[in-house]
Amino acid sequence: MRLSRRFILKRDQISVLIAKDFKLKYDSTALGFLWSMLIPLLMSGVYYLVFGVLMRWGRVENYLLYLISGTFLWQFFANVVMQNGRIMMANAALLKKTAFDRRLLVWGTFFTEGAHFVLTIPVMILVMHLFGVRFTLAGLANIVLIVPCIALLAVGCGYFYAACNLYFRDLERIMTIVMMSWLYCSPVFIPIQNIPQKVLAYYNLNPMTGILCAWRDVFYTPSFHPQRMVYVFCVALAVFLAGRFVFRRLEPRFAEMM
Amino acid sequence: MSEPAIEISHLTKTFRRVQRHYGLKAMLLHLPQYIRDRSRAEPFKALDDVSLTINRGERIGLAGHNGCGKTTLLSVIGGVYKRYSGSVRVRGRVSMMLALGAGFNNQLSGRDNILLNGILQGRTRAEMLELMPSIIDFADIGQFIDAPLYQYSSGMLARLGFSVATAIEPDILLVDEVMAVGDADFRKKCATRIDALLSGGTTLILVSHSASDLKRHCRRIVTLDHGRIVSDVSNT
Repeated sequence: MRLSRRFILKRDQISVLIAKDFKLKYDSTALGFLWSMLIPLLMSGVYYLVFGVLMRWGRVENYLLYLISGTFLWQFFANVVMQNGRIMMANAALLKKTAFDRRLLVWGTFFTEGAHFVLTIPVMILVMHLFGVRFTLAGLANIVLIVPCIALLAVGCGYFYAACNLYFRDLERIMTIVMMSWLYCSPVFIPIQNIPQKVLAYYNLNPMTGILCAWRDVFYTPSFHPQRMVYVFCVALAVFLAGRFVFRRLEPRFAEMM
Repeated sequence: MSEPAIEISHLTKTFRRVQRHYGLKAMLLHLPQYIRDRSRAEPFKALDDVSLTINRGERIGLAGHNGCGKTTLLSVIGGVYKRYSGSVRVRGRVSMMLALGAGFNNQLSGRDNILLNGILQGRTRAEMLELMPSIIDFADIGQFIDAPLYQYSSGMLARLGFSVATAIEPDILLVDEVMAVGDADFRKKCATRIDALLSGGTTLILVSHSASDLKRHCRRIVTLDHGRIVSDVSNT
C-alpha cells in the first residue's frame, strides 16, 4: 500500500514535469509541436541536397528514408543530452524551494523527448509507404533492444552533463563540439557502406553506431542481429552507471550552486 | 508524548565563498594565484552549531536580522540543502513557503502551478485535483487563476503560495515572511487557517521581522544571530 503510493507519486511527479516542459516549449510558438517534426525533416532535406545530390551518396538504396530515420533518432538522443545542460538552472525556482528527487528532471527530459519522438513515427511510416517498404516482425523486434539502450545512454550522458555543468559552465561549449563530432562519427547521414574498412572497427565502438544500425533494420533492410546489441547495451549501462555516480556525488549541493 | 517533529543537533552549514570566478584559461594562467585564493577563501558559516528540538504541534517563531541564518535553517529542515555537519531529523511531510512565488513557474498559470507545486511537495495528482477547488477558493484571485504567474501582483502570489502550502495539510509548515504582503483581510484569513492547521497537530515554523506576527502566532520565539541561537524564550 505504502509502496504503491510512492510509485504513484513518482509517476505523478514525472508527468507533471513533462506537462510543464510541453507547455513551456510551445507556449508562444505558432506551429507549436509541429516544430519537433519539422526540424528533423528539414534537416533531412538539407542532408539530402548536400550529400545525396551534391556528393552523390544517393546511390544508397532509399537514401531519403535512411536520412529521415537517422535524423529523427539522432535528434531525440541529442536533444535529451543537450537539454540537461541547463535543466537545473531552468528549474532553479523549484530546486531551491522544494525537496523533490532531482533525478526526475533528467528522466523528465528523456520522456518529454521520447514522447515527441513517438509522435513523429507516423511521419516515418508515411515515408516508408512512399518508398514501398513494409514492416516485418524481424525488423520490429529491434525496437525492443533499442529502447533500453538509448534510454540508458541518453540518461547517463544527461546525468553527467546536468551535474557537471553546474560546477563547470565551460562544459556547455565543450558539449556543443562533442555532440557535433559524435554526430559525424555516427551513421546518421553518412551511409555505413561508405566507411572505409580500415576504420570500421573503431567506428563500431561508438554505441550510437549499433543503435542506429539496429534502428535502420526496423524498416530499411528488415533484419535482426541481437549479438551486436550486447556490446551496445554494456556500453550504455556503463555510461548510465558512471553518470548516475557523478550525479549522486554532486547532487547534495545543487541548490547552493544556483 | 510522541517523538519530536524536528530534532537538530550541532548543525553547522557552511557555504563556500566565491571570491572570484576563474575561467579555465585564467585558472591555468594564474594557477599559483588560483590555489592561494582557494585555500585562503574561508567558508562562510551560515549556521554555527545550532541545536534545537521542536515538538509536534509547536508554533515556533524565528527572529533575527538579515543574514542571520533563518532561511538557511528552513532550507535545511525542508531538505533543500543536503550537505551540512551535525544531524537533522525531520518527521512528517514538510511544506515550505519560502519567499514569494517560490517553487512556482512564472510562465505557467496559477492552476498549473498549484498542481506542479503540490505534486512536487509530495501529494499525488488525484489528491491535488481533489484539493484544487478549495485552494482556488481560498486564494480568491478570480480570473487570474488561469493567467500566467508573471501577471500576478505580489499580493496574489502570496495568496496562491499560502493557499497551496496550507492546503496540502503538512505535518510541518515552514513559512518565511510572506504574510506581510497580503492585505488585512487576507492576513486574517491566513491567521484563521494557521490556527485550524495547528489544532490539527501541524508544527509551524514562522520566520518574520514583525514582532506582532510572531507574538500572534507563536508560543516560542527563537532568535538567531550570525548563525547561532542567542535566545529561545516562550511567549505567553
